[in-house]
Amino acid sequence: MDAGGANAIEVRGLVKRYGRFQALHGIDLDVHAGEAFGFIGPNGAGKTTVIRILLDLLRPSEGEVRVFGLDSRADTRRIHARLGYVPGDLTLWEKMTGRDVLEFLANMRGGAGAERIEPLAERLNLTLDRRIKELSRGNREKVGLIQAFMHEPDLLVLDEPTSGLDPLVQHEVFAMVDAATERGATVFFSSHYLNEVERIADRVGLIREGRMLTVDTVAGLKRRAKRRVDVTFTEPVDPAPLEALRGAGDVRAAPNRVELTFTGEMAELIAALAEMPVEVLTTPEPDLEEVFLGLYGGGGDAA
Amino acid sequence: MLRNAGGKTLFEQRRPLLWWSLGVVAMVLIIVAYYPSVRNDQSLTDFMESLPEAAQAFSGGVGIDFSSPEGWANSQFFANVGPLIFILYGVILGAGAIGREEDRGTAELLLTMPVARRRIVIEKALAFVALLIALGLVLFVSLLFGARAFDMELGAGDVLAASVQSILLGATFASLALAISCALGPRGHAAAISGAVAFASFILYSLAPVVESLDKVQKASPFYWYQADDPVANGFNLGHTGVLIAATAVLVALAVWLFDRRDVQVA
Repeated sequence: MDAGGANAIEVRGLVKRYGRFQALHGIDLDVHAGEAFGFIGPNGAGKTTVIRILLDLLRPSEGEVRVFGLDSRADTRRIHARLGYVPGDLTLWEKMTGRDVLEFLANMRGGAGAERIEPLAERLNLTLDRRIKELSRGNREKVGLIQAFMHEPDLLVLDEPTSGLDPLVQHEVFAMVDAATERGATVFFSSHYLNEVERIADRVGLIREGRMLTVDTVAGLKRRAKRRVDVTFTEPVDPAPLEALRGAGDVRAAPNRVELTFTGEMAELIAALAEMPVEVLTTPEPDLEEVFLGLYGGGGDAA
Repeated sequence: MLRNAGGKTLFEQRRPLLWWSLGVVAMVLIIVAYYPSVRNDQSLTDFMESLPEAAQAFSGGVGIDFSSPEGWANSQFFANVGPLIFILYGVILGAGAIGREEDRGTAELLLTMPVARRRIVIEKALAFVALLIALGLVLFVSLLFGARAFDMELGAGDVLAASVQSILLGATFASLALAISCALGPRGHAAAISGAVAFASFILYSLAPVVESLDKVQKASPFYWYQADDPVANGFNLGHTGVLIAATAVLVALAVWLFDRRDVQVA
Protein backbone atom coordinates (compact mmCIF):
# COMPACT_ATOMS: atom_id res chain seq x y z
CA MET A 1 0.00 0.00 0.00
CA ASP A 2 1.02 3.60 -0.34
CA ALA A 3 2.88 5.45 2.30
CA GLY A 4 1.25 8.69 3.42
CA GLY A 5 2.04 11.60 1.14
CA ALA A 6 2.81 9.38 -1.83
CA ASN A 7 1.25 10.14 -5.15
CA ALA A 8 -1.71 8.11 -6.33
CA ILE A 9 -1.17 9.30 -9.90
CA GLU A 10 1.99 10.55 -11.55
CA VAL A 11 1.88 11.79 -15.11
CA ARG A 12 5.21 12.55 -16.74
CA GLY A 13 5.81 14.18 -20.10
CA LEU A 14 2.62 12.78 -21.53
CA VAL A 15 2.23 13.30 -25.26
CA LYS A 16 -0.54 11.92 -27.44
CA ARG A 17 -0.58 12.30 -31.20
CA TYR A 18 -3.20 11.15 -33.65
CA GLY A 19 -1.42 11.30 -36.97
CA ARG A 20 -0.57 14.97 -37.38
CA PHE A 21 -2.95 16.12 -34.67
CA GLN A 22 -1.39 16.45 -31.25
CA ALA A 23 -3.91 16.09 -28.44
CA LEU A 24 -1.48 16.35 -25.51
CA HIS A 25 1.71 18.40 -25.48
CA GLY A 26 3.65 17.04 -22.53
CA ILE A 27 1.43 16.82 -19.46
CA ASP A 28 3.01 16.60 -16.02
CA LEU A 29 0.73 16.05 -13.08
CA ASP A 30 0.76 14.63 -9.56
CA VAL A 31 -2.34 13.60 -7.70
CA HIS A 32 -1.64 12.97 -4.02
CA ALA A 33 -2.97 9.84 -2.37
CA GLY A 34 -6.15 10.60 -0.48
CA GLU A 35 -6.99 13.90 -2.14
CA ALA A 36 -9.82 14.87 -4.41
CA PHE A 37 -8.31 16.35 -7.51
CA GLY A 38 -10.41 18.26 -10.01
CA PHE A 39 -9.26 18.21 -13.59
CA ILE A 40 -10.69 21.24 -15.26
CA GLY A 41 -10.74 22.51 -18.78
CA PRO A 42 -12.96 23.35 -21.70
CA ASN A 43 -14.29 20.63 -24.00
CA GLY A 44 -11.57 19.23 -26.20
CA ALA A 45 -8.80 20.35 -23.84
CA GLY A 46 -7.53 16.79 -23.37
CA LYS A 47 -9.09 15.80 -20.04
CA THR A 48 -10.65 12.61 -21.33
CA THR A 49 -7.52 11.73 -23.30
CA VAL A 50 -5.42 11.88 -20.13
CA ILE A 51 -7.99 9.78 -18.28
CA ARG A 52 -8.12 7.16 -21.03
CA ILE A 53 -4.33 6.87 -21.10
CA LEU A 54 -4.35 6.46 -17.33
CA LEU A 55 -6.83 3.59 -17.85
CA ASP A 56 -4.73 2.06 -20.65
CA LEU A 57 -7.56 2.45 -23.14
CA LEU A 58 -5.26 4.71 -25.14
CA ARG A 59 -1.51 4.36 -25.40
CA PRO A 60 0.75 7.37 -24.92
CA SER A 61 2.92 8.55 -27.81
CA GLU A 62 5.51 9.70 -25.28
CA GLY A 63 5.77 9.88 -21.52
CA GLU A 64 4.24 7.67 -18.89
CA VAL A 65 1.58 7.43 -16.25
CA ARG A 66 2.05 5.68 -12.94
CA VAL A 67 -0.87 4.80 -10.70
CA PHE A 68 0.00 3.71 -7.15
CA GLY A 69 3.55 3.51 -8.47
CA LEU A 70 2.50 0.97 -11.10
CA ASP A 71 3.01 1.51 -14.80
CA SER A 72 -0.24 2.09 -16.67
CA ARG A 73 0.90 -0.10 -19.54
CA ALA A 74 2.63 -2.96 -17.76
CA ASP A 75 0.53 -3.34 -14.61
CA THR A 76 -2.88 -2.56 -16.04
CA ARG A 77 -4.75 -5.34 -14.28
CA ARG A 78 -3.37 -4.51 -10.85
CA ILE A 79 -4.29 -0.87 -11.37
CA HIS A 80 -7.77 -1.70 -12.65
CA ALA A 81 -8.44 -3.91 -9.64
CA ARG A 82 -7.96 -0.86 -7.42
CA LEU A 83 -9.94 1.72 -9.31
CA GLY A 84 -13.49 2.58 -10.14
CA TYR A 85 -14.27 4.52 -13.29
CA VAL A 86 -17.27 6.49 -14.47
CA PRO A 87 -16.86 7.34 -18.17
CA GLY A 88 -17.94 10.77 -19.33
CA ASP A 89 -20.03 9.34 -22.10
CA LEU A 90 -21.36 6.26 -20.35
CA THR A 91 -22.80 3.45 -22.47
CA LEU A 92 -24.07 0.20 -21.02
CA TRP A 93 -25.34 -3.01 -22.56
CA GLU A 94 -28.82 -1.99 -23.66
CA LYS A 95 -30.51 -5.36 -23.43
CA MET A 96 -29.28 -6.19 -19.97
CA THR A 97 -31.02 -5.07 -16.80
CA GLY A 98 -29.26 -2.84 -14.32
CA ARG A 99 -28.80 -5.86 -12.11
CA ASP A 100 -27.32 -7.91 -14.99
CA VAL A 101 -24.83 -5.16 -15.75
CA LEU A 102 -23.77 -4.71 -12.14
CA GLU A 103 -23.51 -8.42 -11.42
CA PHE A 104 -21.53 -8.93 -14.60
CA LEU A 105 -19.08 -6.16 -13.71
CA ALA A 106 -18.79 -7.44 -10.14
CA ASN A 107 -17.97 -10.87 -11.58
CA MET A 108 -15.32 -9.30 -13.78
CA ARG A 109 -13.83 -7.99 -10.53
CA GLY A 110 -13.83 -11.46 -9.01
CA GLY A 111 -17.06 -10.74 -7.14
CA ALA A 112 -15.80 -7.59 -5.43
CA GLY A 113 -18.63 -5.25 -4.49
CA ALA A 114 -21.52 -7.57 -5.38
CA GLU A 115 -22.95 -7.25 -1.89
CA ARG A 116 -23.13 -3.47 -2.17
CA ILE A 117 -25.23 -3.42 -5.35
CA GLU A 118 -28.54 -3.51 -3.51
CA PRO A 119 -27.74 -0.96 -0.81
CA LEU A 120 -26.29 1.49 -3.34
CA ALA A 121 -29.27 1.07 -5.67
CA GLU A 122 -31.54 1.77 -2.75
CA ARG A 123 -29.56 4.80 -1.72
CA LEU A 124 -29.69 6.21 -5.26
CA ASN A 125 -33.31 5.17 -5.67
CA LEU A 126 -32.62 3.00 -8.73
CA THR A 127 -34.79 0.10 -9.88
CA LEU A 128 -32.46 -2.74 -10.85
CA ASP A 129 -34.87 -4.91 -12.80
CA ARG A 130 -35.36 -2.56 -15.73
CA ARG A 131 -33.43 -3.02 -18.93
CA ILE A 132 -30.84 -0.36 -19.60
CA LYS A 133 -32.63 0.79 -22.74
CA GLU A 134 -35.71 1.55 -20.66
CA LEU A 135 -33.79 3.76 -18.24
CA SER A 136 -33.51 7.53 -18.38
CA ARG A 137 -30.11 9.12 -18.79
CA GLY A 138 -30.00 9.92 -15.09
CA ASN A 139 -30.80 6.36 -14.09
CA ARG A 140 -28.13 4.98 -16.42
CA GLU A 141 -25.66 7.32 -14.78
CA LYS A 142 -26.66 5.81 -11.44
CA VAL A 143 -25.77 2.35 -12.73
CA GLY A 144 -22.44 3.84 -13.82
CA LEU A 145 -21.87 5.29 -10.36
CA ILE A 146 -22.74 2.06 -8.54
CA GLN A 147 -20.30 0.01 -10.59
CA ALA A 148 -17.54 2.51 -9.85
CA PHE A 149 -18.18 2.73 -6.10
CA MET A 150 -19.39 -0.76 -5.19
CA HIS A 151 -16.01 -2.36 -4.62
CA GLU A 152 -14.72 0.58 -2.56
CA PRO A 153 -11.72 1.23 -4.79
CA ASP A 154 -8.58 3.08 -3.72
CA LEU A 155 -8.91 5.39 -6.70
CA LEU A 156 -12.04 6.81 -8.26
CA VAL A 157 -11.72 8.20 -11.75
CA LEU A 158 -14.81 10.19 -12.59
CA ASP A 159 -15.14 11.84 -15.98
CA GLU A 160 -17.80 14.54 -15.54
CA PRO A 161 -19.54 12.57 -12.77
CA THR A 162 -22.64 14.65 -12.22
CA SER A 163 -23.51 15.77 -15.72
CA GLY A 164 -27.09 14.80 -16.48
CA LEU A 165 -28.00 14.12 -12.86
CA ASP A 166 -30.75 15.92 -11.02
CA PRO A 167 -29.68 18.00 -8.01
CA LEU A 168 -30.85 15.41 -5.49
CA VAL A 169 -28.70 12.68 -7.00
CA GLN A 170 -25.86 15.14 -7.48
CA HIS A 171 -25.97 15.72 -3.77
CA GLU A 172 -25.85 11.98 -3.16
CA VAL A 173 -22.82 11.69 -5.44
CA PHE A 174 -21.03 14.39 -3.49
CA ALA A 175 -21.77 12.45 -0.31
CA MET A 176 -20.41 9.24 -1.84
CA VAL A 177 -17.25 11.04 -2.92
CA ASP A 178 -16.87 12.49 0.59
CA ALA A 179 -17.26 9.04 2.12
CA ALA A 180 -14.64 7.70 -0.30
CA THR A 181 -12.07 10.35 0.57
CA GLU A 182 -12.84 9.87 4.26
CA ARG A 183 -11.85 6.23 4.07
CA GLY A 184 -8.65 7.33 2.32
CA ALA A 185 -9.49 6.87 -1.34
CA THR A 186 -8.17 9.20 -3.98
CA VAL A 187 -10.62 10.90 -6.31
CA PHE A 188 -9.57 12.14 -9.72
CA PHE A 189 -12.40 13.80 -11.55
CA SER A 190 -12.86 15.99 -14.54
CA SER A 191 -15.47 18.64 -14.73
CA HIS A 192 -16.55 21.87 -16.18
CA TYR A 193 -19.16 22.49 -13.55
CA LEU A 194 -17.77 24.97 -11.10
CA ASN A 195 -20.06 24.11 -8.22
CA GLU A 196 -18.89 20.52 -8.54
CA VAL A 197 -15.26 21.56 -8.40
CA GLU A 198 -15.71 23.87 -5.44
CA ARG A 199 -17.72 21.23 -3.62
CA ILE A 200 -15.42 18.24 -4.17
CA ALA A 201 -11.89 19.26 -5.02
CA ASP A 202 -8.97 19.84 -2.67
CA ARG A 203 -6.80 20.83 -5.59
CA VAL A 204 -7.50 21.55 -9.20
CA GLY A 205 -5.46 21.32 -12.36
CA LEU A 206 -6.37 23.40 -15.34
CA ILE A 207 -5.76 22.00 -18.79
CA ARG A 208 -6.21 23.74 -22.10
CA GLU A 209 -5.33 22.64 -25.60
CA GLY A 210 -3.35 19.70 -24.29
CA ARG A 211 -1.21 21.70 -21.88
CA MET A 212 -1.44 22.13 -18.12
CA LEU A 213 -2.00 25.77 -17.27
CA THR A 214 -1.73 25.58 -13.54
CA VAL A 215 -2.26 23.35 -10.52
CA ASP A 216 -3.35 24.89 -7.26
CA THR A 217 -5.69 24.53 -4.33
CA VAL A 218 -9.15 25.94 -4.75
CA ALA A 219 -8.33 28.54 -2.12
CA GLY A 220 -5.04 29.34 -3.84
CA LEU A 221 -6.77 29.89 -7.13
CA LYS A 222 -9.26 32.18 -5.52
CA ARG A 223 -6.46 34.12 -3.91
CA ARG A 224 -5.02 34.67 -7.36
CA ALA A 225 -8.37 35.64 -8.72
CA LYS A 226 -9.32 39.10 -9.83
CA ARG A 227 -11.31 40.57 -6.94
CA ARG A 228 -13.92 43.16 -7.36
CA VAL A 229 -13.57 45.91 -4.77
CA ASP A 230 -16.25 48.46 -4.09
CA VAL A 231 -15.54 51.35 -1.69
CA THR A 232 -17.85 54.18 -0.66
CA PHE A 233 -16.47 57.21 1.09
CA THR A 234 -17.91 59.70 3.52
CA GLU A 235 -16.79 62.58 1.29
CA PRO A 236 -15.61 62.99 -2.32
CA VAL A 237 -12.11 61.61 -2.91
CA ASP A 238 -9.39 61.57 -5.53
CA PRO A 239 -9.08 57.97 -6.85
CA ALA A 240 -5.46 58.52 -8.00
CA PRO A 241 -3.78 56.64 -5.08
CA LEU A 242 -5.94 53.60 -5.81
CA GLU A 243 -5.34 53.73 -9.55
CA ALA A 244 -1.63 53.80 -8.85
CA LEU A 245 -1.68 50.48 -6.96
CA ARG A 246 -0.11 47.43 -8.54
CA GLY A 247 -2.83 45.08 -9.67
CA ALA A 248 -5.57 47.65 -9.82
CA GLY A 249 -7.60 47.87 -12.98
CA ASP A 250 -10.85 48.93 -14.47
CA VAL A 251 -11.23 51.78 -12.00
CA ARG A 252 -14.57 53.55 -12.07
CA ALA A 253 -14.81 56.57 -9.87
CA ALA A 254 -17.84 58.57 -8.76
CA PRO A 255 -17.35 61.44 -6.34
CA ASN A 256 -18.11 59.34 -3.24
CA ARG A 257 -17.44 55.89 -4.60
CA VAL A 258 -14.70 53.87 -6.34
CA GLU A 259 -15.10 50.48 -7.97
CA LEU A 260 -12.10 48.55 -9.24
CA THR A 261 -10.78 45.07 -9.90
CA PHE A 262 -7.74 44.06 -7.96
CA THR A 263 -5.20 41.26 -8.33
CA GLY A 264 -2.38 42.73 -6.22
CA GLU A 265 -1.46 42.44 -2.53
CA MET A 266 -4.48 43.05 -0.34
CA ALA A 267 -2.28 44.69 2.30
CA GLU A 268 -1.24 47.43 -0.12
CA LEU A 269 -4.82 48.17 -1.00
CA ILE A 270 -5.77 48.42 2.65
CA ALA A 271 -2.79 50.63 3.42
CA ALA A 272 -3.88 52.99 0.65
CA LEU A 273 -7.46 52.98 1.87
CA ALA A 274 -6.34 53.72 5.42
CA GLU A 275 -5.39 57.22 4.25
CA MET A 276 -8.89 57.79 2.90
CA PRO A 277 -12.32 58.45 4.48
CA VAL A 278 -13.73 54.98 3.92
CA GLU A 279 -17.36 54.41 4.79
CA VAL A 280 -18.04 50.91 3.41
CA LEU A 281 -15.65 48.42 1.82
CA THR A 282 -17.04 45.36 0.06
CA THR A 283 -15.22 42.70 -1.89
CA PRO A 284 -17.32 39.68 -2.78
CA GLU A 285 -15.83 36.19 -2.61
CA PRO A 286 -14.51 35.56 -6.13
CA ASP A 287 -16.05 32.50 -7.67
CA LEU A 288 -14.03 30.03 -9.64
CA GLU A 289 -15.80 31.02 -12.78
CA GLU A 290 -13.92 34.30 -12.77
CA VAL A 291 -10.67 32.48 -12.15
CA PHE A 292 -11.30 30.15 -15.05
CA LEU A 293 -12.43 32.89 -17.35
CA GLY A 294 -9.31 34.81 -16.43
CA LEU A 295 -7.10 31.82 -17.15
CA TYR A 296 -8.93 30.56 -20.21
CA GLY A 297 -9.22 34.04 -21.61
CA GLY A 298 -5.57 34.82 -21.05
CA GLY A 299 -4.26 33.32 -24.25
CA GLY A 300 -3.10 30.16 -22.57
CA ASP A 301 -0.34 31.47 -20.29
CA ALA A 302 -0.59 30.69 -16.62
CA ALA A 303 -1.64 33.57 -14.39
CA MET B 1 -23.82 -16.87 -17.49
CA LEU B 2 -22.57 -13.40 -16.77
CA ARG B 3 -19.43 -14.71 -15.15
CA ASN B 4 -17.04 -13.36 -17.77
CA ALA B 5 -16.86 -11.59 -21.13
CA GLY B 6 -17.42 -14.79 -23.08
CA GLY B 7 -20.41 -15.70 -20.94
CA LYS B 8 -21.87 -12.27 -21.53
CA THR B 9 -21.66 -12.87 -25.29
CA LEU B 10 -23.54 -16.16 -24.92
CA PHE B 11 -26.11 -14.40 -22.75
CA GLU B 12 -26.64 -11.71 -25.39
CA GLN B 13 -26.71 -14.19 -28.27
CA ARG B 14 -29.18 -16.70 -26.85
CA ARG B 15 -32.13 -15.28 -28.75
CA PRO B 16 -30.35 -14.74 -32.09
CA LEU B 17 -29.06 -18.33 -31.84
CA LEU B 18 -32.63 -19.52 -31.58
CA TRP B 19 -33.52 -17.75 -34.85
CA TRP B 20 -30.46 -19.06 -36.66
CA SER B 21 -31.29 -22.56 -35.42
CA LEU B 22 -34.87 -22.32 -36.64
CA GLY B 23 -33.53 -21.20 -40.01
CA VAL B 24 -31.21 -24.18 -40.28
CA VAL B 25 -33.91 -26.62 -39.22
CA ALA B 26 -36.37 -25.20 -41.74
CA MET B 27 -33.79 -25.31 -44.52
CA VAL B 28 -32.78 -28.88 -43.75
CA LEU B 29 -36.38 -30.09 -43.53
CA ILE B 30 -37.25 -28.58 -46.92
CA ILE B 31 -34.23 -30.25 -48.50
CA VAL B 32 -34.84 -33.73 -47.06
CA ALA B 33 -38.56 -33.51 -47.79
CA TYR B 34 -37.81 -33.01 -51.49
CA TYR B 35 -35.44 -35.95 -51.62
CA PRO B 36 -38.05 -38.70 -52.21
CA SER B 37 -39.21 -36.89 -55.36
CA VAL B 38 -35.71 -36.76 -56.88
CA ARG B 39 -34.22 -40.08 -55.82
CA ASN B 40 -35.82 -42.04 -58.61
CA ASP B 41 -35.65 -39.29 -61.12
CA GLN B 42 -32.55 -39.13 -63.27
CA SER B 43 -33.76 -36.10 -65.22
CA LEU B 44 -32.28 -33.50 -62.89
CA THR B 45 -28.86 -35.10 -63.04
CA ASP B 46 -29.17 -35.39 -66.82
CA PHE B 47 -30.18 -31.76 -67.05
CA MET B 48 -27.27 -30.62 -64.92
CA GLU B 49 -24.84 -32.67 -66.95
CA SER B 50 -26.04 -30.92 -70.06
CA LEU B 51 -24.94 -27.58 -68.60
CA PRO B 52 -21.44 -26.15 -69.08
CA GLU B 53 -19.00 -27.29 -66.41
CA ALA B 54 -18.72 -23.79 -64.98
CA ALA B 55 -22.44 -23.75 -64.28
CA GLN B 56 -22.22 -27.19 -62.72
CA ALA B 57 -19.32 -26.01 -60.58
CA PHE B 58 -21.52 -23.44 -58.88
CA SER B 59 -24.42 -25.85 -58.40
CA GLY B 60 -22.76 -28.28 -56.07
CA GLY B 61 -19.95 -29.69 -58.17
CA VAL B 62 -19.11 -31.08 -61.56
CA GLY B 63 -20.68 -34.43 -62.39
CA ILE B 64 -22.63 -34.69 -59.16
CA ASP B 65 -25.34 -37.34 -58.83
CA PHE B 66 -28.44 -35.55 -57.58
CA SER B 67 -30.33 -38.74 -56.95
CA SER B 68 -27.86 -39.99 -54.34
CA PRO B 69 -28.39 -38.86 -50.74
CA GLU B 70 -24.87 -37.34 -50.57
CA GLY B 71 -25.21 -35.64 -53.94
CA TRP B 72 -28.54 -34.17 -52.96
CA ALA B 73 -27.24 -32.96 -49.56
CA ASN B 74 -24.18 -31.40 -51.19
CA SER B 75 -25.98 -29.76 -54.07
CA GLN B 76 -28.75 -28.37 -51.89
CA PHE B 77 -26.85 -27.49 -48.73
CA PHE B 78 -23.20 -28.25 -48.12
CA ALA B 79 -21.94 -26.69 -51.34
CA ASN B 80 -23.85 -23.42 -51.04
CA VAL B 81 -26.54 -22.54 -48.50
CA GLY B 82 -24.82 -24.33 -45.61
CA PRO B 83 -21.50 -22.52 -45.81
CA LEU B 84 -23.36 -19.28 -46.50
CA ILE B 85 -25.28 -19.65 -43.24
CA PHE B 86 -22.28 -20.65 -41.16
CA ILE B 87 -20.01 -17.99 -42.64
CA LEU B 88 -22.64 -15.29 -42.27
CA TYR B 89 -23.28 -16.23 -38.66
CA GLY B 90 -19.55 -16.51 -37.97
CA VAL B 91 -18.69 -13.19 -39.57
CA ILE B 92 -21.44 -11.38 -37.67
CA LEU B 93 -20.20 -12.86 -34.40
CA GLY B 94 -16.50 -12.37 -35.17
CA ALA B 95 -16.80 -8.79 -36.38
CA GLY B 96 -19.05 -7.93 -33.44
CA ALA B 97 -17.11 -9.68 -30.67
CA ILE B 98 -14.86 -6.72 -29.95
CA GLY B 99 -16.13 -4.39 -32.68
CA ARG B 100 -19.58 -3.98 -31.23
CA GLU B 101 -18.27 -3.25 -27.74
CA GLU B 102 -16.09 -0.54 -29.24
CA ASP B 103 -18.67 0.80 -31.62
CA ARG B 104 -21.29 1.18 -28.91
CA GLY B 105 -18.85 2.48 -26.33
CA THR B 106 -19.31 -0.38 -23.86
CA ALA B 107 -15.65 -1.29 -24.36
CA GLU B 108 -14.83 1.61 -22.09
CA LEU B 109 -16.21 -0.21 -19.05
CA LEU B 110 -15.41 -3.73 -20.20
CA LEU B 111 -11.73 -2.94 -20.73
CA THR B 112 -11.26 -1.07 -17.47
CA MET B 113 -12.10 -4.17 -15.47
CA PRO B 114 -9.14 -6.06 -14.00
CA VAL B 115 -9.08 -8.57 -16.84
CA ALA B 116 -6.40 -8.51 -19.52
CA ARG B 117 -7.42 -7.50 -23.01
CA ARG B 118 -6.02 -10.72 -24.39
CA ARG B 119 -8.19 -12.73 -22.13
CA ILE B 120 -11.28 -10.84 -23.22
CA VAL B 121 -10.48 -11.49 -26.89
CA ILE B 122 -9.89 -15.19 -26.21
CA GLU B 123 -13.09 -15.53 -24.18
CA LYS B 124 -15.04 -13.84 -26.94
CA ALA B 125 -13.51 -16.16 -29.53
CA LEU B 126 -14.41 -19.18 -27.39
CA ALA B 127 -17.94 -17.80 -27.17
CA PHE B 128 -18.38 -17.59 -30.94
CA VAL B 129 -16.92 -21.05 -31.38
CA ALA B 130 -19.43 -22.32 -28.82
CA LEU B 131 -22.29 -20.61 -30.67
CA LEU B 132 -21.16 -22.08 -33.98
CA ILE B 133 -20.93 -25.51 -32.35
CA ALA B 134 -24.48 -25.08 -31.09
CA LEU B 135 -25.69 -24.23 -34.59
CA GLY B 136 -23.68 -27.15 -35.99
CA LEU B 137 -25.31 -29.46 -33.49
CA VAL B 138 -28.71 -28.26 -34.65
CA LEU B 139 -27.65 -29.02 -38.22
CA PHE B 140 -26.39 -32.46 -37.25
CA VAL B 141 -29.51 -33.47 -35.36
CA SER B 142 -31.99 -32.05 -37.85
CA LEU B 143 -30.24 -33.53 -40.89
CA LEU B 144 -29.67 -36.93 -39.29
CA PHE B 145 -33.26 -37.39 -38.17
CA GLY B 146 -34.78 -35.48 -41.06
CA ALA B 147 -32.95 -37.68 -43.56
CA ARG B 148 -34.09 -40.83 -41.79
CA ALA B 149 -37.68 -39.67 -41.85
CA PHE B 150 -37.52 -39.33 -45.65
CA ASP B 151 -35.49 -42.45 -46.41
CA MET B 152 -32.44 -40.46 -47.33
CA GLU B 153 -29.59 -42.72 -46.34
CA LEU B 154 -26.81 -40.74 -44.78
CA GLY B 155 -24.34 -42.23 -42.30
CA ALA B 156 -24.41 -40.63 -38.85
CA GLY B 157 -20.62 -40.28 -38.90
CA ASP B 158 -20.73 -38.59 -42.28
CA VAL B 159 -23.40 -36.14 -41.20
CA LEU B 160 -21.34 -35.41 -38.11
CA ALA B 161 -18.23 -34.83 -40.22
CA ALA B 162 -20.08 -32.47 -42.56
CA SER B 163 -21.54 -30.58 -39.58
CA VAL B 164 -18.14 -30.24 -37.94
CA GLN B 165 -16.67 -28.98 -41.21
CA SER B 166 -19.49 -26.39 -41.39
CA ILE B 167 -18.72 -25.25 -37.85
CA LEU B 168 -15.03 -24.93 -38.64
CA LEU B 169 -15.59 -23.05 -41.87
CA GLY B 170 -17.75 -20.59 -39.92
CA ALA B 171 -15.12 -20.39 -37.18
CA THR B 172 -12.37 -19.66 -39.71
CA PHE B 173 -14.22 -16.67 -41.13
CA ALA B 174 -15.39 -15.57 -37.67
CA SER B 175 -11.74 -15.46 -36.60
CA LEU B 176 -10.80 -13.60 -39.74
CA ALA B 177 -13.47 -10.98 -38.99
CA LEU B 178 -12.27 -10.81 -35.37
CA ALA B 179 -8.66 -10.32 -36.46
CA ILE B 180 -9.63 -7.57 -38.92
CA SER B 181 -11.70 -5.74 -36.31
CA CYS B 182 -8.85 -6.10 -33.82
CA ALA B 183 -6.48 -4.62 -36.39
CA LEU B 184 -8.61 -1.84 -37.81
CA GLY B 185 -11.14 -0.97 -35.13
CA PRO B 186 -14.92 -0.91 -35.16
CA ARG B 187 -15.19 1.19 -38.28
CA GLY B 188 -12.70 -0.94 -40.20
CA HIS B 189 -15.42 -2.83 -42.09
CA ALA B 190 -14.36 -6.19 -40.68
CA ALA B 191 -17.63 -7.85 -41.70
CA ALA B 192 -17.55 -6.52 -45.26
CA ILE B 193 -13.91 -7.45 -45.82
CA SER B 194 -14.42 -10.94 -44.39
CA GLY B 195 -17.51 -11.40 -46.53
CA ALA B 196 -15.56 -10.39 -49.63
CA VAL B 197 -12.76 -12.80 -48.76
CA ALA B 198 -15.31 -15.59 -48.22
CA PHE B 199 -16.92 -14.89 -51.58
CA ALA B 200 -13.55 -14.89 -53.36
CA SER B 201 -12.64 -18.17 -51.62
CA PHE B 202 -15.88 -19.72 -52.78
CA ILE B 203 -15.31 -18.63 -56.39
CA LEU B 204 -11.73 -19.85 -56.29
CA TYR B 205 -12.66 -23.28 -55.01
CA SER B 206 -15.71 -23.67 -57.23
CA LEU B 207 -13.87 -22.73 -60.41
CA ALA B 208 -10.80 -24.86 -59.71
CA PRO B 209 -12.27 -28.01 -61.33
CA VAL B 210 -12.89 -26.15 -64.59
CA VAL B 211 -9.90 -23.82 -64.65
CA GLU B 212 -6.73 -25.87 -64.66
CA SER B 213 -4.44 -23.08 -63.48
CA LEU B 214 -6.39 -22.83 -60.21
CA ASP B 215 -5.62 -26.40 -59.25
CA LYS B 216 -2.81 -25.52 -56.84
CA VAL B 217 -4.13 -22.12 -55.81
CA GLN B 218 -7.43 -23.51 -54.61
CA LYS B 219 -5.70 -24.78 -51.48
CA ALA B 220 -5.55 -21.18 -50.32
CA SER B 221 -9.32 -21.28 -50.10
CA PRO B 222 -10.85 -22.43 -46.80
CA PHE B 223 -13.60 -23.96 -48.95
CA TYR B 224 -11.10 -26.49 -50.24
CA TRP B 225 -10.35 -27.74 -46.72
CA TYR B 226 -14.03 -27.62 -45.88
CA GLN B 227 -15.40 -29.60 -48.82
CA ALA B 228 -12.68 -31.11 -51.03
CA ASP B 229 -12.89 -34.54 -49.44
CA ASP B 230 -16.70 -34.53 -49.55
CA PRO B 231 -17.32 -35.13 -45.83
CA VAL B 232 -21.02 -35.96 -46.15
CA ALA B 233 -19.98 -38.90 -48.38
CA ASN B 234 -16.58 -39.81 -46.98
CA GLY B 235 -16.72 -38.75 -43.34
CA PHE B 236 -13.84 -37.16 -41.47
CA ASN B 237 -10.57 -36.21 -43.05
CA LEU B 238 -8.51 -35.24 -40.04
CA GLY B 239 -5.95 -33.45 -42.17
CA HIS B 240 -8.55 -31.16 -43.71
CA THR B 241 -10.27 -30.62 -40.37
CA GLY B 242 -6.90 -29.84 -38.84
CA VAL B 243 -6.18 -27.13 -41.40
CA LEU B 244 -9.40 -25.30 -40.52
CA ILE B 245 -8.73 -25.63 -36.79
CA ALA B 246 -5.21 -24.33 -37.27
CA ALA B 247 -6.42 -21.41 -39.38
CA THR B 248 -8.93 -20.47 -36.67
CA ALA B 249 -6.29 -20.70 -33.94
CA VAL B 250 -3.77 -18.63 -35.88
CA LEU B 251 -6.32 -15.92 -36.68
CA VAL B 252 -7.48 -15.71 -33.06
CA ALA B 253 -3.87 -15.46 -31.89
CA LEU B 254 -3.31 -12.72 -34.43
CA ALA B 255 -6.43 -10.93 -33.17
CA VAL B 256 -5.18 -11.09 -29.58
CA TRP B 257 -1.81 -9.69 -30.59
CA LEU B 258 -3.26 -6.92 -32.72
CA PHE B 259 -5.84 -5.77 -30.19
CA ASP B 260 -3.29 -5.67 -27.40
CA ARG B 261 -1.23 -3.15 -29.34
CA ARG B 262 -3.68 -0.48 -30.30
CA ASP B 263 -5.82 2.28 -28.84
CA VAL B 264 -9.33 1.27 -27.93
CA GLN B 265 -11.68 3.26 -30.10
CA VAL B 266 -14.61 4.58 -28.19
CA ALA B 267 -16.77 7.46 -29.28
